[in-house]
Amino acid sequence: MSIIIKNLKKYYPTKKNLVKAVDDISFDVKPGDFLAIHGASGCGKSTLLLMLGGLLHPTGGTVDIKDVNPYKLSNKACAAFRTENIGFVFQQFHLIPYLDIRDNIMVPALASYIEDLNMKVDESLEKFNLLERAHHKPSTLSIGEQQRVAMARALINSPKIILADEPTGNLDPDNSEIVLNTFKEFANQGGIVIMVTHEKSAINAAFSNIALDKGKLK
Amino acid sequence: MLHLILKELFYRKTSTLLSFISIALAVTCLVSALSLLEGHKVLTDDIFQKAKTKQIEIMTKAEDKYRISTKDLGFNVLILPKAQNLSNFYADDFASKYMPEKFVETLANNRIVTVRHLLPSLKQKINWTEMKQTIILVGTRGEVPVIHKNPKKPLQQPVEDGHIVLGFQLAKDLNLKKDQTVTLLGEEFNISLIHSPRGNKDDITAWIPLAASQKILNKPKLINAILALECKCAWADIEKVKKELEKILPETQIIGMERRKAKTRKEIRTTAELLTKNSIKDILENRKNQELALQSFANILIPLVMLTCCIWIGFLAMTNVRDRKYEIGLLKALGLLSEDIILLFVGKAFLLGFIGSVFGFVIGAFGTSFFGGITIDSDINNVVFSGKTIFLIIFLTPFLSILASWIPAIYAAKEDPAEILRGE
Ligand SMILES: Nc1ncnc2c1ncn2[C@@H]1O[C@H](COP(=O)(O)OP(=O)(O)OP(=O)(O)O)[C@@H](O)[C@H]1O
Ligand SMILES: [Mg+2]
Repeated sequence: MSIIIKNLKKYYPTKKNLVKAVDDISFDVKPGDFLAIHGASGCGKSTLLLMLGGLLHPTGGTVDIKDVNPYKLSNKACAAFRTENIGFVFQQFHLIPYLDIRDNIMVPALASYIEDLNMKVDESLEKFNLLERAHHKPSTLSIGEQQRVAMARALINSPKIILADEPTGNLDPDNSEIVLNTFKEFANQGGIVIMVTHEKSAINAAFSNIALDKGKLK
Repeated sequence: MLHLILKELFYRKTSTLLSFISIALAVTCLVSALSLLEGHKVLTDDIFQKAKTKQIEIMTKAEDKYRISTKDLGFNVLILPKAQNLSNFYADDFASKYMPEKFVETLANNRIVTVRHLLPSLKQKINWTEMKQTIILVGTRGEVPVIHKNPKKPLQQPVEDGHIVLGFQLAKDLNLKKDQTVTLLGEEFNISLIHSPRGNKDDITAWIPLAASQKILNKPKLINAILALECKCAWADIEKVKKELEKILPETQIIGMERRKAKTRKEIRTTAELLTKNSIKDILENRKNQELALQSFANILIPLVMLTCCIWIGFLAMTNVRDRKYEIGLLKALGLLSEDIILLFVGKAFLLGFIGSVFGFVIGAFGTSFFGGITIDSDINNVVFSGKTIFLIIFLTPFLSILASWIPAIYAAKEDPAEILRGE
């Protein structure tokens, strides 16, 4: 049930030269781990995370999630695999502006059937302290509230893995703590959290961490 | 999905409204053009029907007038002495029996039958001994003044005293010229006129004043025929007129003559028909031309409006795709497929097209009826509101709208979520 990556590479050919965003990285992540990936800006953190999430075809190497290489699946199967297994959290929360909070949390249900959806939405609204905001539009919410909505959305389909790119980048310490605590709890229940960050507090909160430097493991 | 589309439509109100208005406008334009054209056709039919009714009216009126005018014309009769054998009269063309000339006055003075013209004559075939030629001699008198009516211009020019009028053939055979003096049975006459050929007995007839003929033929104060023209009485029936005349002049017998030529009923009918037909033809041609002009205008306008609308919709959809870049990336990251994204945009285009066309249809149809002076009567209803037209407009418009949004939708589906979500 772990994530195993081997010799993972992502090269971007540009006019001038070849940008080696991720260059020959291998590591495993076991269930129950909360891994922080850190490094300087432009070292390839986001690129690596997207490859782990099945969203970006690697130039070389393999990604195995639960013994499945998502890049060997058809587009449709890959999308279904993602929906079933992975929850995403981003620095920009990418909430849909015309849907209210409740509907935003329910968006993953557009891609796949989710059992007891309404009940789960109610639970997560309560969990993230958003009950009163359920029928407000995202633009009326504070940054912290918006990130909590994004968290609720990432968890609604009960994924096994959470991939987060700078989830606390825009948050105040209190809201950061809520997010990090949620991740710890998720990992403690057997899930995998892989979080890209450059914040000390976030790295410290994680159970383990790896550092990247110019596309390679440090 | 529908929920998502609807929410998005209401969220981006300006874009939605713009798309909606342009679709509605295009459809309004289309429907108006159609209704105007149809209305024009219906009106043409209407005008045609009215003209047709008018034509029948005119024809009926013309016939009525004809009836009245023939009654006005009265009857022409020939009055002959009672003793005259009609068979002989018809064979010879003149009577061998005589009656007093004063019968003319008796007839003129009576009040029951009015006669417009009275032409007494003395007619006989004689041998012009001086010329050794058989001729028909007619002694005539001008019209007898009718007492209770202004004497009209005589129908026949009376021959002046001492003069003679000759038929064409007679003058030719005898080698006689105008103004020559001839002797007829001892009397001298000056030739005042030679008729042009008539192709009947007139060509061998000589006309002299009645009195002269009475003297030559030794029939003092006698005549053998009175031509009474335009006899009228209370009854428009020649038999009654005849009977009445025979009562007034018991010593005579009356025979009906051919009426003065009046236009026949059929002629009048044809003339009226022709006249009205031509005017109807003109109207129809005129309207046909107008229709063609309208049609060619619509032929240009409709595709132009449709095309402009399509381009505009496509442009708006493209803008919409750009606005929703992050949303699309997110939806794809969350597991929505490219097909789903296309469906999202196509569904929106369909909804916009459908609602827009319904609105446009209603505005166009009722707008033209209110402002175009065309009432939505059953005829136009049949055409513009026929199932076919409604189907074409209401269902083809969303289709066009989808077509216009197709490229932006494909573009949206191709968005790479990685590219969008990598941040920065
Ligand atoms: N599509 C692309 N074409 C060319 N170069 C790219 C492309 N995407 C990423 N890169 C380059 O790859 C490198 C790694 O990018 P990436 O976004 O993974 O960095 P990062 O570690 O997430 O940085 P940050 O901390 O600023 O988010 C960068 O130098 C970036 O410029
Ligand atoms: Mg990054």
